[in-house]
Amino acid sequence: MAMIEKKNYWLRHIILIICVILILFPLVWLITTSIRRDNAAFSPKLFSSRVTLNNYKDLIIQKPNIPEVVNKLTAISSYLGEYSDLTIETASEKSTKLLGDLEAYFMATNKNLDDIEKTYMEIFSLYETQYKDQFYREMNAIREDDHNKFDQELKNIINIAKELGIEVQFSNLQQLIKQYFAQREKIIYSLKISNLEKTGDYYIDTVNVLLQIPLNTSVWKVKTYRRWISEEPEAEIIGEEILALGDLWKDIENEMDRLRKDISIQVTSLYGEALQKISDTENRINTIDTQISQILSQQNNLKQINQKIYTRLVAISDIFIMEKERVESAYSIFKKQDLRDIQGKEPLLGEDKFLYETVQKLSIIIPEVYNNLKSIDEFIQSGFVDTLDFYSDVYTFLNDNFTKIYEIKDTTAVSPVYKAIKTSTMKMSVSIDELVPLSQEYSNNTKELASLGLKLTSLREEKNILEAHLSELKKEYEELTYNISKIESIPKLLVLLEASSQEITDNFQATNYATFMQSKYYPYYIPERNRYIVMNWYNNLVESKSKFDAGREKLIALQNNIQKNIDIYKNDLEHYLSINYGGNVTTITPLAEMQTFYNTQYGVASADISRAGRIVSDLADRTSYGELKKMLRNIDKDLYLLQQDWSVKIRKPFMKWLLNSILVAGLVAVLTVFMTSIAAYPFSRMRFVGREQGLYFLLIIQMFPGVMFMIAIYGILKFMGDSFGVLGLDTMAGLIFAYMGGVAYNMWLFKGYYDTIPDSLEESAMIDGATRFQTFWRIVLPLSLPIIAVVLILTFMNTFNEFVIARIILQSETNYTYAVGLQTFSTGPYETEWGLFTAASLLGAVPMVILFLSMQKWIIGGLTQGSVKG
Amino acid sequence: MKVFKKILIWLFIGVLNAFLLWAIILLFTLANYGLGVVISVFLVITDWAIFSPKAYPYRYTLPALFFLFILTIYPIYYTIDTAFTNYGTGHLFTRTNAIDTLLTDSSYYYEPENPKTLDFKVFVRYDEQYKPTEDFVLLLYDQEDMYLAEKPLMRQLDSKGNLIYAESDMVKVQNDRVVKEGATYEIIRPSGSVSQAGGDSIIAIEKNGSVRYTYFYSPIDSTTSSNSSYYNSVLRQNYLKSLVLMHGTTNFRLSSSHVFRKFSEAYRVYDTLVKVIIDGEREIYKTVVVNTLTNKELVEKDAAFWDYNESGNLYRLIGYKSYVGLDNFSKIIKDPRVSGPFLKIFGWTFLYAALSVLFTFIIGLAFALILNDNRLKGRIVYRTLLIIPWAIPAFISVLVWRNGFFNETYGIINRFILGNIGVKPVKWLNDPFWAKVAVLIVNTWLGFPYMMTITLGSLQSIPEDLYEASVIDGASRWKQFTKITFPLLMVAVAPLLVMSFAFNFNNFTNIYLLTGGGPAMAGTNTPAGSTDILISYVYKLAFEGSHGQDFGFASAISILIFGIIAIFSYFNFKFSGSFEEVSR
Repeated sequence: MAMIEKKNYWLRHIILIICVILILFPLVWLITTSIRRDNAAFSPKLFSSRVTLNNYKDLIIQKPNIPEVVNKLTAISSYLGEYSDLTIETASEKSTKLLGDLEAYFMATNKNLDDIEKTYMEIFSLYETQYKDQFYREMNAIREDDHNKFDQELKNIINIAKELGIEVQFSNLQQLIKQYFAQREKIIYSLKISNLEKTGDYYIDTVNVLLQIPLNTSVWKVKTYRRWISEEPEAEIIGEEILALGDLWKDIENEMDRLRKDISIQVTSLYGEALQKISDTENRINTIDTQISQILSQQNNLKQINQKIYTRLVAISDIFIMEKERVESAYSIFKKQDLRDIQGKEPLLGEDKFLYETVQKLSIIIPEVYNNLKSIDEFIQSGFVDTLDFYSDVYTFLNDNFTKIYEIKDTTAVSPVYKAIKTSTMKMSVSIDELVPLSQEYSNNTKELASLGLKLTSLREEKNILEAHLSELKKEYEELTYNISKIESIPKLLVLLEASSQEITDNFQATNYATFMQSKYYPYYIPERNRYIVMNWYNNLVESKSKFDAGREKLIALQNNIQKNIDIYKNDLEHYLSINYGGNVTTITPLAEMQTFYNTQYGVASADISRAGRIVSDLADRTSYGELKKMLRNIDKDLYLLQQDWSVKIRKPFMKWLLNSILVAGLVAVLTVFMTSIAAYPFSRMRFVGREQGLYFLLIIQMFPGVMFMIAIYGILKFMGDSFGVLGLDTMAGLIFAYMGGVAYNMWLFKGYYDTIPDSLEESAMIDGATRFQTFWRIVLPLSLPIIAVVLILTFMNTFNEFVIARIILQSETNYTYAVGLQTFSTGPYETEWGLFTAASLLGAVPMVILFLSMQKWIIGGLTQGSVKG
Repeated sequence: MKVFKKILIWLFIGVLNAFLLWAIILLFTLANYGLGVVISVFLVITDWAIFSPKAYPYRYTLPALFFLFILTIYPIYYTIDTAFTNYGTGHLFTRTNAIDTLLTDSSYYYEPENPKTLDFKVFVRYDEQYKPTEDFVLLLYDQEDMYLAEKPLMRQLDSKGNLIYAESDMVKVQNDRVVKEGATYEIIRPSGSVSQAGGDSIIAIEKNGSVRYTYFYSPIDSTTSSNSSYYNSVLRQNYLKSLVLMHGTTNFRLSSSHVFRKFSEAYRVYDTLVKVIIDGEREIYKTVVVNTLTNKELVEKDAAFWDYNESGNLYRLIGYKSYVGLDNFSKIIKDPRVSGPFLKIFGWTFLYAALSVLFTFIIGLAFALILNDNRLKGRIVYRTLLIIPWAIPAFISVLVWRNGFFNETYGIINRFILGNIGVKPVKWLNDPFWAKVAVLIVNTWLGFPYMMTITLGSLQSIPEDLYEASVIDGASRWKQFTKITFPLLMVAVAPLLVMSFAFNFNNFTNIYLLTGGGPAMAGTNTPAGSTDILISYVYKLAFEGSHGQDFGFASAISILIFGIIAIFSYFNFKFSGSFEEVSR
């Protein structure tokens, strides 16, 4: 039993610890991010070992750094902003101090630069004297590990090939490769012992080319070799050897091709059919895809044409539909006429003749158009088809009987309708010529579209079937194709195998080895990202140093330029300061120059320095030797501090915000305690009319948090500010006033506490002649110190943590409270300034957490009594 | 001593009464009747409490009462009142203010055809340190005449201290002298130069022979351009911008058509007129605004003034606040562009509050059950650590979550957690569904310690013997939980759950700081967002400028929230027995 209990507790502890870690992770993140030196929002690392307290310093102290000092000097010299009220003497005092600061910064910068230089030198000498061998041992260990891996891989692939029945004869190739590497070794050796200039570009270039795989000598021959021998003729012997080596590599590549062909012939004979099927299916799908896209574009085209025709046709059809009613009534009257006995007569000229011709035309055209459009949905919908149907009847009739109707056109019965039909027909005749071709085309297009749609569906179906088929096939042969392609790359693996058997003895070999291994020459070997870092270690260090040197040079040049101007300005400080005194605006050139120099030159210097810093910090992370690591860290830190002095920084009046918050919260707390402690007294001690109602009222009121009154509070303060000029929006007093509404809950707390103080004390005091207020003031209140403290602190905390009301009331940045200000750290351009944001968060959060934890009992007690603070 | 004290008290009462009376009178003249009535009631109660011995207990409560009246009772009235008005963008002023603006705003001035224009020079008095002061005179001139104007004595400022209107007299200069209300101004030229209009050579103006105004600035004189910054930022901003110079019946203003480099004749477009309207037998006097150019009375409709343009069509000049009856409420039901989003927000508010309570309660209960064992070592430590999310001010935590965790590009959830398990980045803040998930995650994180604490308290008050008895009866652990722990727990915790619901119903900070209510809903003409709850919707309606402010509609929704909260509070007090506590 006891055992089980124990085990159970272990489990609980584990669960709890995991939960606590998960739950407090945001806090952990907050703390670690606030002390990070790099820009956490862009860093690929969740945590960083580069630690600094600078974010806090930037928030709390905000000591002006170099660009800020320069700006301040300029502002003073033109008496702008906060400096507008300075006299010449104070301005000169201030300027002198700032100039002194600037020079101090320069001294610090120089010292810093020297220190960094010294550390670099130490690292180099340490590397040469102590660590070099260790580094090479490390490199070769990695290389040997690689070699074993490749060996194993080769064996595996050969086994697979055997299983698949493919025979790979690579001994010849292997021989060639071995020969290649042996020769390369020889050439390198002779290069080393030669009298050639070993630090020259040609030499370095040659060694690097030589160590590259695949070896390509043609560019080298033109760009390096020719010029080299003109300077150092003795390079020729080695050069020829290198060219011979290049030929050897070509042989190797030919042999590789041969081998690959051999393999692929075997594969085709063994598995050709299956693989052919896959590629056939793929081809078929491709063809279908092109067909589909062709049809789609055709469809699109037709749709566009039809759209145009449609709008034309609709315009015409509107006329026809509009006239329908008139024609209909005319038609019905015509039909009623007894036309049998009438001798027809043809109109000979004028309108009537034209009408007759039009009627004839229409009687032919309309049925035709009707036929074209009768099956097209859009026109059936619009009623055009019905109209056409009707018209074809009408005009056939009219055509047949026109002569007769013409004869009786002047009879009273027919005359109006004849005229009507005349106008209608004339109206319609205007667009009649277009109607046939348009409707013809439209109907043709529609039919075409329908057939295209059918085609498309069938093609898509076919494609789906094929794709399903293909994925089945592929799945079936996936392993096979994978293995075959692996077998096909045996030649490349052989190169890797051989390359990894060459011992690494110098920096050239190391870096080239790393580059080769990471180049995916053999596509199935993808090393982890940091595997070959040690090979590039020295090179990186050299690069960082050279970046630093470049940056240093630029920084010193900038510093000298600024210094020159400082000297000019300092010499005649008082005179320069009096130029702009009294509202003048003249540019003080020495100061303007300083700014220009900074703006144009610092960016370039900073880029180099940052790059040097980044390389050094990467090196530090990956160095396993404590001594070197520490030195690299030091360089990184010094470079960082250097940039802190020089770079433009983001400044927010953070301390002002904190002070505002503390001031507001403190005053609100004191005033609230004062008011509520007095107001709660009668509710506890006296019986009076309205006591019970008052308590109900308080109980209900405290349910409605201040947020709900935000519009009203805004309205009141706006009114006050506009009409009285006090307690307005964007003032501390207004905010404090707005916070005074939260008295209800605290009155309950006080009342509850007073209830626990026995009456007898007061009664005896009153017997001694004290007034009611005196007993309260002298006896009850001192006894209530604990609750006073509690209410004080709770109100302070609640006010400090309030956001909404402050957000509404405060508008200008210098008036913000901490809560409102913090929000500005997390939006817009500051979204990624995590260092400042997290530091600012912590500065507010930590005191509040401590207060909360120390007041836990009271907060929880208050809550479980059934009241919630909003 | 006692007499002194008594005098002091009476003095205090007197001052208090006087102050409150003054405030009341002022409020009524400013037409703020709501606050006026509230303060009047407070004054009556105060005097009653002070003078009636029966009302002695009330004296203690007076300061608290004052703030309760102004910051609780009046806001309730204000909210209800505003809910029936169109108060908001385009209707921010009262009618009187709107008329004032029409009369004084510089955009409502016109220049007659061929106006008389005057060039001007500014003469400034320097202080002992030769810095310019705001004491100045203006010299104006054309081809023939010169005029002098003093610094305006009459100035109208708005609440932020910006100049609305200023006026000053302009007097003609004769023989280089001006006599004005006892002050004599004399124009000073270098000896030998001849008096002439324009006064190119004038170097100073002397007042009463003692105060000297030195030539400081003229917009057409490039030699004074180094003084332009003081002129523009101080003199023009504080005096000349809206200055009307009066000379007989002609008025002059700084002319915008001359790029503010000359004074030009200018007159107001609008003027007021009192009209008598006969309504049955009563005569009603009404102030109407008239366009002096067209002599047409401005039309008032939709709570705004409208004027006719050249083609005779009405265009809107300026709106004012007025009562619109139930419009704001009927909008919620009738206008589909309002009601659709509103119903979504309404539903989400309940869902959000309910899910928040549910999740926090489940997690809090789980932790409470684990920690509710006196034999567990370090339980105080665990409890303290688990309480921390509650202890950190909510606005800080929410900002940290938003910025560090849910940010779609940089946030560590998308970059490190989802990135490492190969899930595509989630649009935490821009996808309606995921934004809701994010809001709930954060709120659960913020709220579970509270639930854990209260359930832990309640669990410890469940007597041990109940469990012992159940063990004897052979009850399993699960049975114990469902039959003893949970029912007894719910009795104590249910009211708190209701309270928590009510709290989350109004949990503005979380929503506003995390998502800002976003992402925005489509197809609405209000600033509604997918994660908005009612209170954040109210905030956005009232204060987020991009959509224009709508205090009226926002207040209408506030009233709905009042109602809902009141219902929850009622049930809560009934459950928790707070009502009984009152009558103790």
